[in-house]
Amino acid sequence: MSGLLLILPFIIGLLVGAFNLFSMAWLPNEFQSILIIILLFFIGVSVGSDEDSLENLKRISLPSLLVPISIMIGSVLGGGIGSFFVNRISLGEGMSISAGLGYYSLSSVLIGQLRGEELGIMALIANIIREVSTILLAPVLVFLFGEMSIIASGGATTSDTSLPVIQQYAGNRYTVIAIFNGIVLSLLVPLVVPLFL
Amino acid sequence: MIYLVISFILGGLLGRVLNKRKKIVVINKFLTYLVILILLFTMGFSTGSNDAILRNLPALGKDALIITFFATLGSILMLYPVYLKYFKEKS
Repeated sequence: MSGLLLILPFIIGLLVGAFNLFSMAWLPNEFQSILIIILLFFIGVSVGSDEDSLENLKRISLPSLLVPISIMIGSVLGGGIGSFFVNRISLGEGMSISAGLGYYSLSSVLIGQLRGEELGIMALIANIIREVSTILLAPVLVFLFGEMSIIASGGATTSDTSLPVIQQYAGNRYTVIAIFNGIVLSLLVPLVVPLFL
Repeated sequence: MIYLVISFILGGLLGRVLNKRKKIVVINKFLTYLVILILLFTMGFSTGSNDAILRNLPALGKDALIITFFATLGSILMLYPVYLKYFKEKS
């Protein structure tokens, strides 16, 4: 399934939500979290039945730890540079938004609480763009910067929403490091985001 | 977070037991995509149903795009040497 096709339900959801076609208030708050847990189970089945990716598990060591650390440092530095091109926000705010690494729900709530709703909304949009563009641009990223660039771009989402495209375009070989990376970064996001505000 | 790890490990164990049964692999792939499609739909829905976001979307969106571009590029460039040294498949 192509990245473009994956974005279709997002756009449909956006339109349905914008035009109030129906309410999803009846869904429990934990709906998305439960789905992600189910998703992880299915992905576990896929990895477990694949001998190559199990071999890869043995490589979780120093190099594996370098993956989430360099992704976080690169993102914060990049966001700091980006803030010079945007009048609305300061250096620290740019770094803070970038430390969200695609974990839009958590980072936008944190930033919204610390610096007001407008910056929170910007963090939400920025991190949704990061997640969605990772899914959309996965084949282009692999072509330009190699298999692991999808993991770099996916940031904290590589253990859930961007995992299927990593599996498809980078291969099962990178699935375990992607999950490891996503879990470590999801833990780091709430710690690093407030540092710059 | 711990539930994610437990779920993944349980899935992994089941996958190990089933070990490459073609039908299971196909069904599992289908279910994976089904869940991801629902997740993306709910993500779009929560964005679309937030009026504050929709009203300011053009201005905030442009700035957010610039920040994300630099942040993502920063991550990719920082990880690139790690990828080349430790992970790239030697041909």
